[in-house]
Amino acid sequence: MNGRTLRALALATTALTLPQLAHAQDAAPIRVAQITTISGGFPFGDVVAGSQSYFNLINAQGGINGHMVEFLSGDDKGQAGEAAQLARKFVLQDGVVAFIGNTSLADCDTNRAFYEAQGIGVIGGGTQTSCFGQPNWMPVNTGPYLGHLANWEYLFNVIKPTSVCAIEQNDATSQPTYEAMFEWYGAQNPAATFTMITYTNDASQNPTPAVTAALQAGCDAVTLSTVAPNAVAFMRAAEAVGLDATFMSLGSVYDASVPEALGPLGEPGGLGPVSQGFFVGAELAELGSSAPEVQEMVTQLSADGVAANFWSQIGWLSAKVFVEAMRQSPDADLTTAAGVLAALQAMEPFDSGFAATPMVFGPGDSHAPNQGVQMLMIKDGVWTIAPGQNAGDYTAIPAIPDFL
Amino acid sequence: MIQQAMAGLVSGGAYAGIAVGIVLMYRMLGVLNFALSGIGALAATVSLFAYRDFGIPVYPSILIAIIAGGLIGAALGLIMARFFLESTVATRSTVTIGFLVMSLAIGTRMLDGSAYNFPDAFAGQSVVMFGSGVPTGSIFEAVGAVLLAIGVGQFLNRTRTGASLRAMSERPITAQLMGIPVKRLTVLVWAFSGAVATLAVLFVLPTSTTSFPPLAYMTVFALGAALLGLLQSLTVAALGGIAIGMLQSVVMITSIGQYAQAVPFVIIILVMIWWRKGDVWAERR
Repeated sequence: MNGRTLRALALATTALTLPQLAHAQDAAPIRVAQITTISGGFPFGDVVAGSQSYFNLINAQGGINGHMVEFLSGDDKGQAGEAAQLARKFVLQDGVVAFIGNTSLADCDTNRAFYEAQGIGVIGGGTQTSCFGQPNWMPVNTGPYLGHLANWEYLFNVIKPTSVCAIEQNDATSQPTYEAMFEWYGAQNPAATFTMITYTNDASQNPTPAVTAALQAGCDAVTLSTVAPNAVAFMRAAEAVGLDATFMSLGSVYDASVPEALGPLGEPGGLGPVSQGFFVGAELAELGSSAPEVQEMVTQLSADGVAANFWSQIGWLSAKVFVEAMRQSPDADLTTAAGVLAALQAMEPFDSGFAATPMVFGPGDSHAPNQGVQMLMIKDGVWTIAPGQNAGDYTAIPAIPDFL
Repeated sequence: MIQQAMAGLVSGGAYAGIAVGIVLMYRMLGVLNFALSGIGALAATVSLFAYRDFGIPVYPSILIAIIAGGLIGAALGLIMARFFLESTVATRSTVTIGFLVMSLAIGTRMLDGSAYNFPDAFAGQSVVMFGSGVPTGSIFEAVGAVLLAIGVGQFLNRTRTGASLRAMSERPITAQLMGIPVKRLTVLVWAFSGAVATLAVLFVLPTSTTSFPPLAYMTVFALGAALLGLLQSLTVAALGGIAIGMLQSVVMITSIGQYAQAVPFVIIILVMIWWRKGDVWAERR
């Protein structure tokens, strides 16, 4: 390539880029914020970094419809008072037009009325039941209730155990919903029965008694609602008492530390010839997935020095859904909360590459677009996508009860 | 039923070990140590770093953790001996709540919610009893706690140091004037209890959550066991710890399984009512 060609290419590039950059500089920035629980025992801080990383990518590409994105964040420490204070500060003082990536133990319950009164839209990671049932809040994750249905879909149609024990969280708030779900699922699928259902699992209780009860009940599959450190305890307890069974948990167990801590115990046959291994229904795509959207995220997170994990993925996907919605409404006023909420409500479903079903905010009174899981299992010391899923690499929920 | 009760040995053994430490400290130092399993969990975490990050084998890693537990206990004992020797039982006990909060603040950052592979002296080993496996470590711990309780009781009753400790617990200032090294013995009891609590946590860890708060809060259940021995009998406290663990396990499969954790608290309350009733009768007489 000679000097003249290079100069011509440079001129052409400048001519193509300048109007976009000039437009970007002219257009007012879109200011968004995130309320996340970082301290107080629940470190969801990577969600902030995930959203920031996606906005870095978008801003480097010229922003959204010419608007650069300004991203603020705050730690509510898992406390309602802090969450309320932060929401008011961001909206009334900083003038944010939307909340992106909120992943908090207090936000959904605390700020619902405020978001509705202010006409502010929120996209984030739902940790409370109420995140899945309000008009201004859209969770990108599946959540525990739909996660159960997706897990059962895979369990009874692919693993096909003869006797299932369910060890659920000892949580009075969610127990009535789970009881209704078990009843509804049994009516829909008469062949799918649970030999034992117990609501006694909590982190402060040693799992050995529950696993012993599963052994006595003769179960060859155990479903859990738990988190990574407890899942490992369950498997070790199963080994100790001699329970040879397949284990399955919600996506909250999807963590790289689990296969490492379990070693051969987590592999198919690790607990004995009956056990098909340890499965989790990941609420979002497996981080090693070859999907181009996932690869793009991993590359950008790495460039920004951010760990790729479930939490940074929540932050990334929340930002991605927001940007997609705004791009779908090029005429919307993206500098006001009303304009942004209108764009979110007018959004058409799009395939994010991160979930079983398309992502959409839409006009409804509640939002739960992620209706499936990516079933993973431990194989050769790492999480791998489990075979036989009903929606490609994902397991989608065929039917959802009215009460969810 | 028996299988289910045996499963409770895992928690029960840990409660028993911690309960022995609680009773020992209450009798000798006049302090209800709410931070004891927090100290044990902090020190147990040291074994994880030794084992995982420095490649130190299982048994030396465990030994390092026990020494760490002793050192943490000694450091806190030094603070108590230096600043709270003449304080009331209530004040000293309240100070330990501060230690518990400190251990939680540090421990939740050391164990950040991931799954960890702690060194396990009895990896994957279990003994089949009544048709179900029971982790070997749990049996070892439960039996060890009872033997420790008996051994410490004998030590206190039959040795010169034991006599000094008993004198110190009843009249610390008088004991000090008589030449008994009260501060040194205080540090020693704290160090010993810290090491015992570390062992208790280490034995329960292989089949327990590696999340820090539940490990630190095991003291609450151990307190129920300690109260069964009226904070005086080491052996009853150890047996009480085992009984509470087994009872929790049995209750768990009943229709009130969600309240299995509450069983120790019911026991605490019943014991206290019984205890108080004795006082009320004594007053009326």
